[in-house]
Amino acid sequence: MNVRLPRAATAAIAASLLLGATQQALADDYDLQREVMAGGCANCHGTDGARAGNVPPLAGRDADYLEERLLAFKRNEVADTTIMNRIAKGFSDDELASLAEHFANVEQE
Amino acid sequence: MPHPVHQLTLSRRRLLRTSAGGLLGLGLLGAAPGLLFSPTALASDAWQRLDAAQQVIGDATPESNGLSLDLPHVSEDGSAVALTVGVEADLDDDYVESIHLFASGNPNPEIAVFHLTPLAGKPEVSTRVRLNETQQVVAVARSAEGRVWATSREVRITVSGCLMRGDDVQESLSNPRVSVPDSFSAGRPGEFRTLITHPMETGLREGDDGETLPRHIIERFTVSVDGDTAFEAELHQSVSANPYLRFHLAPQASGEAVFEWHDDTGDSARETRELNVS
Amino acid sequence: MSVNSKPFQSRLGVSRRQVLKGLGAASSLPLIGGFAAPAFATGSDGRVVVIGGGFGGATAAKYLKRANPNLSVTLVEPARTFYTCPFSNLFLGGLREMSKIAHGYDELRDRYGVEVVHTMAQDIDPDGHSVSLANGDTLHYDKLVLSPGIDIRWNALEGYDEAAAELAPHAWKAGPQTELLKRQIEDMDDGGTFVLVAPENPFRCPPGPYERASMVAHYLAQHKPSSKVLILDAKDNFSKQGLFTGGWEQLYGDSIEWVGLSGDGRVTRVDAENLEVETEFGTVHRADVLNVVPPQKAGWIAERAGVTDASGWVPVKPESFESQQVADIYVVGDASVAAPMPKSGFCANAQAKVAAAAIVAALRGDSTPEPYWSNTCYSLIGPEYGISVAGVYRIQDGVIAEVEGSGGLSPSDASAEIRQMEAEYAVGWYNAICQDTWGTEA
Repeated sequence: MNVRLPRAATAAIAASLLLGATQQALADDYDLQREVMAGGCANCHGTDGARAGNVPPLAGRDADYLEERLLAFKRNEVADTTIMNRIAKGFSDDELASLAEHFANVEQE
Repeated sequence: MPHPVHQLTLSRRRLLRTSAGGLLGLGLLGAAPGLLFSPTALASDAWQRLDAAQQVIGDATPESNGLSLDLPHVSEDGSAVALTVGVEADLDDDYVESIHLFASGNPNPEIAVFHLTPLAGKPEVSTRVRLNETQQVVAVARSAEGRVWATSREVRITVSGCLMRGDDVQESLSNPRVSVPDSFSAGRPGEFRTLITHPMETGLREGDDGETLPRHIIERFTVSVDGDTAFEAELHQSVSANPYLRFHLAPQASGEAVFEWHDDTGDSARETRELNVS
Repeated sequence: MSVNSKPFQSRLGVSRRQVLKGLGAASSLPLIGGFAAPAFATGSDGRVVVIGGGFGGATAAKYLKRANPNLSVTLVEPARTFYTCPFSNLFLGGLREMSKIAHGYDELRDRYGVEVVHTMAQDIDPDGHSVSLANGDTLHYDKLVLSPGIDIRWNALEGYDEAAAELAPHAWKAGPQTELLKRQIEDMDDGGTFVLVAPENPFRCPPGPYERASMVAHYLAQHKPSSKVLILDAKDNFSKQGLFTGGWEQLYGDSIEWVGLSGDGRVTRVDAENLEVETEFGTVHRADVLNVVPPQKAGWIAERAGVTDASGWVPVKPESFESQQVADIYVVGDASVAAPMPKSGFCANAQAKVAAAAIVAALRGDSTPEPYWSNTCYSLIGPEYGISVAGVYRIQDGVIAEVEGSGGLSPSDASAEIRQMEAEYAVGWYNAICQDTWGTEA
């Protein structure tokens, strides 16, 4: 049955559908599990790994580079490392790859 | 020192706990698993499964109320876990003759045996023990008239990466320290503390050269008052290095107390103190 | 447990940042189909109250909002300015001003939409899901986060009560106590003795007393070089012990003396009037400045909430940091029993993120994410001599455990360059964690 709705009602329905879409996008935009896994990194690299300081930023850097670096830390291959080797050893290779991808693509605030 | 278990009033928010896993406490907790004092945590039947404890208990049926065993729930350093054990039951003319401690998860479960006399006044002893890993610590007490108590406590050992052991080599049986009350009221118990330097080498550790370091422990500690043995401790390798003992004596009259430590090489140390009884 | 899902851009091209800022102010959102997209009703996904605005509470509030801006998040913290215990020792050492360890709450309000209320929480009704505030208000919650830090167990050491702390400060909560101790050190005559009484485990910040001794020794070496530091310890082992002992020898010679438990270092009585302490075996030590770090317990509001156990600390479920004793109350930071994680600001921040995620998931009806925690404790032995201990933690067999092979201490034989790098990274860590927690730049 075809019902023609008043314009305002159509717009309101469209708006509420859009509302729903935005709300869903919000939730999907934030990968809760991965954020938890990456949580500790912020303490030295800043929120979203975006802080530039003597501890280098991570946000937006090349994922392959980050992954290589993390694996190198884990294997004690980085000279003059102070802390990152001890941290990287706490994660599996897959987790390190996932972290690298996370920071490469992270949406900065 | 571990914090003693308090009696708390029952409310919607609070838990009812009794010391030494009293029956009421166990009954309540049976309905509430996953709480800190779950049946697993109290596990009074740990002493049932430990042969060494069963040997001490023999044919008797141990009482569950009256023997308190205080230990931290979690210890970040298994090398020196503070422990206090005591009998709080009404004894009338009876007295506690012995208190036995076991670490059910250690390579050798015997920790110590404390031999008390009527001179103790208050049958409560503190020491520091080595716990290899998370496990049940078991205590069994016997009175002169044959009453037996048994209880156990779980201690979780998390060797924190924060801690690093100091390995200073000091002379064994050196620096004996004794603390006695300045004065006593006749027959009223006073608190004694003793400490002495000793590695209490377990015989299970490897030295830097890969060789097993031989066992070297203080085996016996005695306190006598005017020649009569008042308190005695048999120590095993699960007592922490630099053994610390806190106990009570209730002398009837002034006199001289002699403290002696004997280790398994035959060496000994001796201290004396005057007991001032008014 | 693998983590594979990629984040994707919202279909509307509205970034999270824009949406976050848009909450409560519809105007900044783009118009859609002739209608302004409405501001989402605050709190439509749930109400969370956070008590405590330190490393744990502030992080929890921020990360709750980051994950779900639709939550109503209220942070209750009496202080308008929070002074961090981390780096307060540097103030004592003359390396940092108090203003540089001070943090405010504007960022949490303005950028994340956290409602910050500067009053004291006084009581909690867990059944009624409400919090009574000192200003007379009542807050209702779906979920409550407590991050109350520690409180001192007065009179656990005979003679050490609140009045005694004004004469022999603990300075184990940063702020006026820290400034008091600093003044006392400055007023001490050259040749005097700074006595530090260190407690048994567990306590806030395991390496803290030893960094303090280092920083005080540094200050004294500069200004009162004949003075000494004496540590009387209720323990035989302490955090990073070998590294501290080695560093002390290198930098301060024999001006720091440490007496451990087995050497009769355990203090049982404090006479604050006379700045004297007595040990277990009757040795009396007289101080010119006396710093007592006493036995501690969870912040008192935890007891009011019914979440503490006989130890005075709060047992929690490791996967979420929800109280084991009271539903819908999550406790993070020093107050919680989270061993082997130490009681540190870093851990408070890490635990807060896990709790926030658990709360967000619970309110959505989703399963709890798998937790990850890490910790790095930096200690400054000297201005260019830093050491660290790190740990990575997961749940194993139902309890929190260190991931085997990970973490550990700075090497005992590190070069001067490495020690200097660690000292610099300590500053980098401090700046980053404060930005991550309060959004502030020191």
